[in-house]
Amino acid sequence: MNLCTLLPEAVKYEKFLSLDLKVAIVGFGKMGILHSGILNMLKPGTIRTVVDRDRLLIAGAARVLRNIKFYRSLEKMLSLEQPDVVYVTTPTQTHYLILCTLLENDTKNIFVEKPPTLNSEQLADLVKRLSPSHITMVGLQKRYALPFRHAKLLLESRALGEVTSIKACIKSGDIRTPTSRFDLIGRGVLLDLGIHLIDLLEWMVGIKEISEVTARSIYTKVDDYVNAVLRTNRGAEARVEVTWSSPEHRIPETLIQIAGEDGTLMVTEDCLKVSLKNPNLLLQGQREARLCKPHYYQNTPPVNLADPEYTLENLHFLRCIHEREQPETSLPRTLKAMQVIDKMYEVAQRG
Amino acid sequence: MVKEILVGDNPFIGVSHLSQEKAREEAREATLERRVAVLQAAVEAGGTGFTFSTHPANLELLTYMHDNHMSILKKLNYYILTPYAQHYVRLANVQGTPVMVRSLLASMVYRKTAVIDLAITLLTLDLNTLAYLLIEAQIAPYLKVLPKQNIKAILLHETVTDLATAYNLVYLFKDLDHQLRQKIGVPLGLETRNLPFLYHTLRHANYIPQYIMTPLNPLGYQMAPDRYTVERTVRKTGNETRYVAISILAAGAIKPLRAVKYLASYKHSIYAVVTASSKAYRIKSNIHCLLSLIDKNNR
Repeated sequence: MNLCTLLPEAVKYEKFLSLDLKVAIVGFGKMGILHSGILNMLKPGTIRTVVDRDRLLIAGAARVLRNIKFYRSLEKMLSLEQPDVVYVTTPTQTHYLILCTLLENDTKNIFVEKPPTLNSEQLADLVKRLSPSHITMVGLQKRYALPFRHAKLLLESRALGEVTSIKACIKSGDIRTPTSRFDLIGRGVLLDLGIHLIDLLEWMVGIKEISEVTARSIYTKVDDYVNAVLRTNRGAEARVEVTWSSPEHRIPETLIQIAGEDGTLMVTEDCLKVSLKNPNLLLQGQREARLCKPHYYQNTPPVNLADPEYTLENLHFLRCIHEREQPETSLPRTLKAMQVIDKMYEVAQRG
Repeated sequence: MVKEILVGDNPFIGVSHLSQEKAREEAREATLERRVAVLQAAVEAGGTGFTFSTHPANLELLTYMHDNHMSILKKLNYYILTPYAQHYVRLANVQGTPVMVRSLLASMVYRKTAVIDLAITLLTLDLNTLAYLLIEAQIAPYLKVLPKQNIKAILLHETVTDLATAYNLVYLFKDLDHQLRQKIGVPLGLETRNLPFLYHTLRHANYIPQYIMTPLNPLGYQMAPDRYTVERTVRKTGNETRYVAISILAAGAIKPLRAVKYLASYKHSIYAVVTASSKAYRIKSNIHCLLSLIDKNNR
């Protein structure tokens, strides 16, 4: 398997950078700083404008980053700067209104961090407002992690045969002290972290049905731990576990184990472990493989800041802007995962 | 010429660039006794230093060594990597970035006069001093337990280095270096996974730090934009700065012998190499392997 198959974004990526794009960041927190850092390293001077409401942050940042214009008002920035691309990296509850404003101002290229909205209703409303010329992308960076992409290729080639069962979890140790940060949102780990897992499952095997969901709070007033049983499009059972209160997890980890009639696979952001009945070209003619980050990320990505998938998702977005294609995680393509999440919350409440 | 073989702390603090499963396994294994044994074994095998993040587990280890094994502590050089970025990422996740920034400012007030320094810094928006106060607060507990003359560098964590470089903030590095040398007597070093980009930016601003820590392995893992460009930079500039090579085993994907063979062709450009393990016997065997990189006259 060559790099083009697994990582088309990294092939001749320089041409995607040839456009002289004016990029604005809305929300200069952790993710805003990360994306702007990656973009500036891919092409120095890409970030021209930042919008944030926090006075202290803006005062400090404006003093240091003298080549960037800072605004506290989104509308003012849009009218004065008219950016080609806007990254929305504010808290989730603000996404919908910001995205509405961007679409009203006819911003053509929009990246929004996950989750794109609080619920699928908001997202469906945004999708209705899109025109074919809009390029939108949701920051579901796990989709750009190479072990997941490799697993998807194996599933698509039916290397595992008919899938019989799935066990999947996403866990982090972020919330292990009481916090009221999520009270306003009214939703917890399933929306915030679980969206990665639901999106991956929807992408890999498709989710048809939600059988059971139990949710409980530990440190917040919302869901800190969720357990669910889902059914895939072809009827296999998928057991799902989501938590952000795992003391064992220093950083978030996604684990998907898939059993099929002709083999099994286990995949995380870091590793892919496969065992098949028959040799497969996607495993270089082998039946078994255990591949980790150092096997996948050799001489790539061209910028290494935080995890490699962040650079890959940015390259993917830039490529889509250049080629005028819809990203793999565009707003419309994320709708199904958001609908599954809504349904899971409904089932959990009923239960 | 390679002058130092350093022990790294990743297995001590639950970090593995191979997989998180391995990281958790190593963190479970890395009891205080085992961490002490690793440092002891490293000294016996010819290891010359310890490079570590300002993580509480390392403070626990070094405090214990200070109280119980001062002789070993004195035999090692120290390269302190700060800030421990994951701590702040988690704080931002829990509290949001603005609250995290405020609690970070509050944490800097660890000594009485720091209140005044911080107040002046904030009122004048003097971000160079703010950066220094932040680093000072991070390393202060370690300065109390480590032999001062053995602290060779304070290295900026790669996330901070690379982000600051992305915004061309070399003047912050310069000023931080100056303040650290003046107030603590230790130079600043930079850790990066994007060496050519960093070096190009630094040279443009006419500043080269005394130490640069960067991944170097035959797989090109964590070497952005690619292995060849990184190798070229190391070769060309090895006489301008002291390179500390990390990820030499590409997170365990290659064997020590292969790494040594690869590094041998860079030994005139590298100052130190870092190896890590949660097991004493393994650190010993890794160091024995790496000793071939050091000129016999320097051993």
